[in-house]
Amino acid sequence: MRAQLGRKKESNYKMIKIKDLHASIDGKEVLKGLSLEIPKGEVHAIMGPNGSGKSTLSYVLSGKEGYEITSGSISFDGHDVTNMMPEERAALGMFLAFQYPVEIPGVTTINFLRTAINSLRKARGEEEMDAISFLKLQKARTAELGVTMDMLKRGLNVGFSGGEKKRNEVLQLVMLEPRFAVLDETDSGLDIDALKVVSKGINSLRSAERSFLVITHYQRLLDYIKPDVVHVLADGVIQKTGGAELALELEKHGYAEFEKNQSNGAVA
Amino acid sequence: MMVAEAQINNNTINLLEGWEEGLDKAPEWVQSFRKKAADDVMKTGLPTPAWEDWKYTNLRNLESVTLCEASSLHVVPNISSPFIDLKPIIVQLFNGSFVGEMPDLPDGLMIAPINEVWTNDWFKGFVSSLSIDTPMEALNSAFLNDGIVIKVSENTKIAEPLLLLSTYENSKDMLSVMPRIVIILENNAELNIVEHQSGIGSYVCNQATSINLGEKSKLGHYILQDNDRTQGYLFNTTKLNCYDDAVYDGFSLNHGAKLSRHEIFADLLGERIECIINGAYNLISTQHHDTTIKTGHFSPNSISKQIYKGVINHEASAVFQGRICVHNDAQGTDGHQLNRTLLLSEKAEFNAKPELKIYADDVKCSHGVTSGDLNDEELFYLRSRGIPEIEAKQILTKAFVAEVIEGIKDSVVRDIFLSISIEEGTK
Repeated sequence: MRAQLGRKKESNYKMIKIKDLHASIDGKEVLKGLSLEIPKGEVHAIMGPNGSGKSTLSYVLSGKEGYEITSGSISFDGHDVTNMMPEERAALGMFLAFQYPVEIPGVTTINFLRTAINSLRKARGEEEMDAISFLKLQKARTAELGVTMDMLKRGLNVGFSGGEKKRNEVLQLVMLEPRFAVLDETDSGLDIDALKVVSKGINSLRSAERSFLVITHYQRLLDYIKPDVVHVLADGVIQKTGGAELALELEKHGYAEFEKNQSNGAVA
Repeated sequence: MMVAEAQINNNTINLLEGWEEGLDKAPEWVQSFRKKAADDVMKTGLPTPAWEDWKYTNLRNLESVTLCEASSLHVVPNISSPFIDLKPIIVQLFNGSFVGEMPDLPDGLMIAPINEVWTNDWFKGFVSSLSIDTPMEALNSAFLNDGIVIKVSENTKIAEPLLLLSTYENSKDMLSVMPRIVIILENNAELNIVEHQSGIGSYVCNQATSINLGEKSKLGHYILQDNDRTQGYLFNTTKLNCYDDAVYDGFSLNHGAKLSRHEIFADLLGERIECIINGAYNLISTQHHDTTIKTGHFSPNSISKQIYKGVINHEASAVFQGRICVHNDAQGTDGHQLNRTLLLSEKAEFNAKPELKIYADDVKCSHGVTSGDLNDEELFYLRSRGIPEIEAKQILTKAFVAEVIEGIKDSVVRDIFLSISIEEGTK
């Protein structure tokens, strides 16, 4: 499958364009002029030490309140999304798999999935998915990920283990089928078997029409989700860009080289 | 009776108006019962914010109301209720009086209008043994006539739920309704009751509910209070006496009237009782709702739990007062109380007064109160999946309330409550 992807890219159409992005939280600048372009169909990985701005980047990409973009811009598939609301970005086809998915008691996972799918369809001017088609889709996708009916009927992420929460994030990813997905430390808290299952789910979505940004601290995840490009983020800017081999290098030598560039304080 | 400084104000006189009507037709004991109650009301007056238990609920607006007699309509109003789906035994009260035909009742279940049973010794014995602790109860007692008695015989389990449809309606002046509901479960009896209270137009309803649960009996008591939100005053005083091994599973969903107060006295007189009094309320506009619960543990090893969740929007206000009192003999008591409130507007107001009074040594008791806005992280999570902000807020509000509804023991009743829109009620 992999051979068919990535390699086949004909156009160099940029799905995501981040230009000189400066973003602050509580008056403290975390992203300090970050620029990044991800062509259609490619998987890019961002690696970096703690406090380099990795999670901030994921939140800024998905439109979380509380992050102030002081300059620069983000565009997705030709749309300037810099100031868009989270739901508008989702409707365009952007997705964030959270590092720490919240627990929402009283909202069952299955109802949440159905509401999300139909909200996206409505925003795109499409017809709502009927109950039968939804169940068909849900059954196929949950089987692949080992998500049980019991999990689907429980409150969203309530009482889920770390691994179950991450599988639930990937379930949402495969159900909502975005065109661009940010995976924020999806490997954290996963044992090796769960990591394989989760990676398989993500890989099944790889296509020439879809791009990914995989944020991770460790190289391990990239053994399973092979990136086309690896970037090193430190001190709020991209410090280095290379091929998949860059991840192995980082695993060997650590981030020391980049951390010396990192100025005061750690911000996730 | 709590006697504070007597304050005989206009609303006392207003609400007592007409209490003597039909008095001569009542049995002698009812006449003296009513006279004494009316006297009590005149002595104390109605509560004012100077009374400790009424600090946050002010009845002064009642002063200006003009009451007219309850309409004695004998046409059964056409009520839609989501609880019809339970295929229940349906009994209808209109402005406090029984209307329509009495349905066929299963063996062991007796339902009758109060004024048809009040010559019976057991009824007299039960009602005259009840303490009268509040002026609202005394006021209701001064009018004892309307309402019904529900009684389940020993060792009888009633399979079908009972749906009590209570409607208040008046389009002219204010209407005062003083129904009494008496629920008696004899030893080892079981029943589920759903009360759907629906008020339209302006009215004052002051209901008193007296419940007696015999040994090993089980009562599911579920209330949907689904009134016109802009008008109406609704007072509901529930007195609950439980004996050994009784189970009370109580839940009420209050969409409120203009002003409402639900006051519950639960006396756990026997051992190993399980008493659950849960509820939720959702207030908008300038509505005011007050829940006041007083639980008394008198014997060892009983459990009492209360969880109330409130959603307050606009300029509405709510009060939660909860007192658990564990008496000397009540070792091994397990008493818990939790109140969580969602304040959806800056002008929404919430006052809470949790209290624990513990006179026994070996007990587990807790109480807690929280209030706040919707969780930003949860809101962002839903929005990031494409759910628009308004809808995401509705989902989270409903989920907040659903958590307490999910505690209802009867799964079919639970599902119906879950399907009721928290914003709109059933209307």
